[in-house]
Amino acid sequence: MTSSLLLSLTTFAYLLCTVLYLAGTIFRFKPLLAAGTITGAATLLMQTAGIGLRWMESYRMGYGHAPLSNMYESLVFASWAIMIIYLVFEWRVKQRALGVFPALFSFLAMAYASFSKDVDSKIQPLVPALKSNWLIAHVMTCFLGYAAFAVSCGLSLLYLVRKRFPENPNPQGGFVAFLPGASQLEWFNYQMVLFGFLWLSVGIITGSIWANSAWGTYWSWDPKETWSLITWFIYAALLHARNLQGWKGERVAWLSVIGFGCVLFTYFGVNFLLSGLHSYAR
Amino acid sequence: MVYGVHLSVLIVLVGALAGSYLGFKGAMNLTEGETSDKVMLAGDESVQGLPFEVRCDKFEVSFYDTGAPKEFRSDLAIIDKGREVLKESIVVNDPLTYEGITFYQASYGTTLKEAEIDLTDPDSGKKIALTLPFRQPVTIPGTDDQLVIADYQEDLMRVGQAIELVYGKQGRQSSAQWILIDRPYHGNRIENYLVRVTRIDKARFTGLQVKKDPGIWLVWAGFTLMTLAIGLTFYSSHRKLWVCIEPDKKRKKTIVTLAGRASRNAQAFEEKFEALRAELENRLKNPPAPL
Repeated sequence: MTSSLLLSLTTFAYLLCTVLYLAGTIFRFKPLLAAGTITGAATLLMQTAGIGLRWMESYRMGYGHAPLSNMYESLVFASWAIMIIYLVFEWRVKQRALGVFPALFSFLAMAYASFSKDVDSKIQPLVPALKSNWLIAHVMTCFLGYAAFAVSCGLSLLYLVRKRFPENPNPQGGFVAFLPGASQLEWFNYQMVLFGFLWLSVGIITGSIWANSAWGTYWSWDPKETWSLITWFIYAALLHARNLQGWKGERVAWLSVIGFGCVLFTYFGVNFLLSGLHSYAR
Repeated sequence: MVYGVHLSVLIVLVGALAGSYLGFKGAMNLTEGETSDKVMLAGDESVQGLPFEVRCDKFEVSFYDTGAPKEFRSDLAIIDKGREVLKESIVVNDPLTYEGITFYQASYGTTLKEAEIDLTDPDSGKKIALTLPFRQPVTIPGTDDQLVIADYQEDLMRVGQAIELVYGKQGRQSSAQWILIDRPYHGNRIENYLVRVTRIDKARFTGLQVKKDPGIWLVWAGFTLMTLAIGLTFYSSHRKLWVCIEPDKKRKKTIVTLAGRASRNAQAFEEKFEALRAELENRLKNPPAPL
């Protein structure tokens, strides 16, 4: 039993989860949605065990550290965070049809981590700059923020789909039959963005405090810092526009999608296309 | 809540400005054993003097078996008014602070202390051996000419260690030449002499980041306030009430409509709203006596 095995199984299990949620929505078959939830929860448990095992394996290798130190480990954590945020959310609102996108994102993150040539899954020791307790706080809070924004992107996409196919009087309904109403989806998106905004703010703040004790500067306009700030501004703009300008649902939904695009650039684009203190991919 | 978040942003900015104008940021390189009180400031490359001295007793770098760096450690001592007041080791993520000035382990390198070279005159076969301390000119015996090591590189264009020699002749343009230390090289010559480096004495230096930041506590306060304020938005509820008063001409009455909305905890709001509605109804049915 290795973390490698558990995490490989996790990848395929999330694919299954995605298929179940999607099939349940398309074929309007509630038991499939329930199967999606159960698969998601079970996979999440397996993934948690995998992450824990990797943590222990690093100690056995002599350079133990929390599995949050490189592209591979952060992708696995991102996938985990997306699923746990979504499942708690699903349990609170009892809307299973919303699971397609979160499950898909969790699967894509794991698949990229496992199969990409650019991502090295070997357990590596920590270089001096990463030897700090701030590693855990900063990486976890940032990725919880990213994960919440991923879920909100999914909700926004479903909202836009919902708007294209308004309430159908026909009881059989289109394939959106199981989706909650537009205004509900809009409200869920707002709550999820607010949740993500809290975590991203704390993520940027912990990064700042850490940078100050490591390099003596809490802000150096490093590409990653700059792009995470841009992401923060976009979501702050979303919150302002919705509450002050009374922006209608569709604009907010698109801003949510753009914001997530910014999150993706902050995460991948900065690592691979720009160089700086955060280029851990290389 | 909202005010808290925006105020926190202002506090952070003020803290950042205070740090910029009232503090400084720079670098200090110390070779093992060296003492200094000068900081090379970033940006304008000016020098900031410190009210005390810093000495690096030892610098150590260790590596994992994978080849990746494991630790950079500098053993530092603070000398204030001639007395050694503090001795502490620093590593990345664990700096030293004294009198509001913080020293961070940032980098390291190797520098040259002195080199011994052989100069051979190819015509006469005469050999001169010289000891050249780094960046200190030495007169070549029997001549008025001077030789100095102007620069040292650990790896010059991937061919290895090298020193830059500058030959100064009285009244003439001096000439400079890079000499490779570890490899035979046809270019290892200067002013007709063949040059061979026979010994080099190196010293490691530690690269420290030095910072004074009086504004930092404001920045931390701003961060704390922002975290609390955003967190509290999850527990606060925004409530809105509307009252609409319109005449009903047909029945010669006035219609009062009361509406309300809460962003959170609808249950509690519903109860409050119901109580408000009942109170309003009561007041309208039994208006208080005019004064």
